[in-house]
Amino acid sequence: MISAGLEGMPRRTYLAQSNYDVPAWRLGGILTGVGGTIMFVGIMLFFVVILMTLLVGKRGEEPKDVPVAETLTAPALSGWELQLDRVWLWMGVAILLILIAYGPFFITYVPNFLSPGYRFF
Amino acid sequence: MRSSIVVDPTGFRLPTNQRRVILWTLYVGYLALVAGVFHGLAQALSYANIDILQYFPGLRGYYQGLTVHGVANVLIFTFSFSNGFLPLMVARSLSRPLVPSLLYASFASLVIGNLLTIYAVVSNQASVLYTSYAPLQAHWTYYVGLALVVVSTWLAIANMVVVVYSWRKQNSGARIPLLAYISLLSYAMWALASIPIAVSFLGILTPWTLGLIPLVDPLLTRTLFWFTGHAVVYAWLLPAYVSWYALVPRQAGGRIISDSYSRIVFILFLLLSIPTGFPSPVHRSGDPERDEGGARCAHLRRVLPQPGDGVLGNGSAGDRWESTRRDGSARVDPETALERPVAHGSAARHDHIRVRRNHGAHQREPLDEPGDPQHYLGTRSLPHDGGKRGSSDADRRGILDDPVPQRQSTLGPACRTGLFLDVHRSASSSSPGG
Repeated sequence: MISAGLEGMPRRTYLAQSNYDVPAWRLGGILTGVGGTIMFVGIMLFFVVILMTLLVGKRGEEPKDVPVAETLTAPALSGWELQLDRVWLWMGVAILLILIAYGPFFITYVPNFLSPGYRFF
Repeated sequence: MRSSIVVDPTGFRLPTNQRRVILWTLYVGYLALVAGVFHGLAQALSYANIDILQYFPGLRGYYQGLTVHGVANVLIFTFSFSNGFLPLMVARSLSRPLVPSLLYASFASLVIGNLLTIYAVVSNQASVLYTSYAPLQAHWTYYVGLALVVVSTWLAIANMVVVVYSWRKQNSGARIPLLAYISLLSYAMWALASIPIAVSFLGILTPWTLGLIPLVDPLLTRTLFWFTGHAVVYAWLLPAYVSWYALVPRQAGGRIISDSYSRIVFILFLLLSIPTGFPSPVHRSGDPERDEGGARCAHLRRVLPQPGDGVLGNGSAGDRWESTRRDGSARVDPETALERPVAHGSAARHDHIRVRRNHGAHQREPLDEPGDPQHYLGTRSLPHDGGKRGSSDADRRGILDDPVPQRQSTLGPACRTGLFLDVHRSASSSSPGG
């Protein structure tokens, strides 16, 4: 898809029913079809696993717990690491960064309400 | 010294009712995944020139299927999973049950939102793709339904916040267990990221589709969408990251190296996910060739013959673009590589309409009012392709033969706003990244 995209293939276009016929898109298109089919088989097998786990898995031994890991070192009880737990502080920093990034746009942008709605498809 | 990432490593079981709600939340997600993947196969095969979409029962058009694919797989599946998984991790980590009322409310909001969205999409009144770009307009149930899905994530967030907060009150001075911490931060980022899409859907697009406000600013709604849309990609992945950091090491027989580094990873996601998205709306909007929305809009201009094409002499930004192109400048745009149908008599790019016709789609009968865009667009003829293809081919594709109304393009304003964003660029030129 990348190779075809570089050759100008539009995205979100149903090429199988189109009259587009660009030779440079063909190889990438075939590979996409093959890869997509393999992925589809993969997700179908995933569904089979989930379904059989739900239906048949109950007969086996039920997992006792979520498999939670351990850390090599315990969390520090003093020092700078305590700042990591100040979730509201980090939320505030995040909001500040958002304001820096988006603030100028939203302050200066003059909304231009000019388009009616369209339903093409 | 080894340390667990949960309060009680020996185990914790949620109350049965809560486990059931979480299980059904996950089921909703997996059902959405099932619903959406088939179009993925059709899409992939389409690139190999194999058309299986025509065999999909009930499907009324390519863009309906693509909307199902996007909405079900990248919105419903991901957030249903997160809504179940992240609160479950917090409860397990802190050995505390969740707040039942918030849990039920979150699930109810998810289900109601899904039902509304399913109605809109299945009835083909919301074939706008998951990006929901105005001026493509969907039925109000689509916007309200997806907004309710967002609300369900907020209720899940509230649940996690309440549980963590009450745990901290009883354990002042103790570090938040790692698993609860990274789960909370994952959705904390999403809490900030999701506000604009809710504002856009509920505050602008829903009143617009209900007719309460007649016109919309496509650039504004798109900017709001990508405020959320850039970060949403991280939001989808973060539950997997939680699993990779906190669960997979155990399953693989290893241990997490650093508690602090793991926390910093999620703090960085919280801090950077949204601001790094800022180039998306600006840069995409400014460059018609790279811009998805712009290219899409250009594509619409291409597939929908426009009698007024290129002669809109009102000095709009769009006309500047047109004239630049006609002047033979080197600027590359999606339409110079492929000739435009009306102007040049090529039917090569009418596939959208053909797909629609081929699927027996008459989503919306043309109305009689000349002011209705569908009056033109729904009945517009598709010129023959100069004999390059046989008429049988044309018949197979179901081209209509209505005469082209010689009117000013109705698509013009839409594309000028969505594609030619000089207004936007001048407005944002003083901002960082602009």
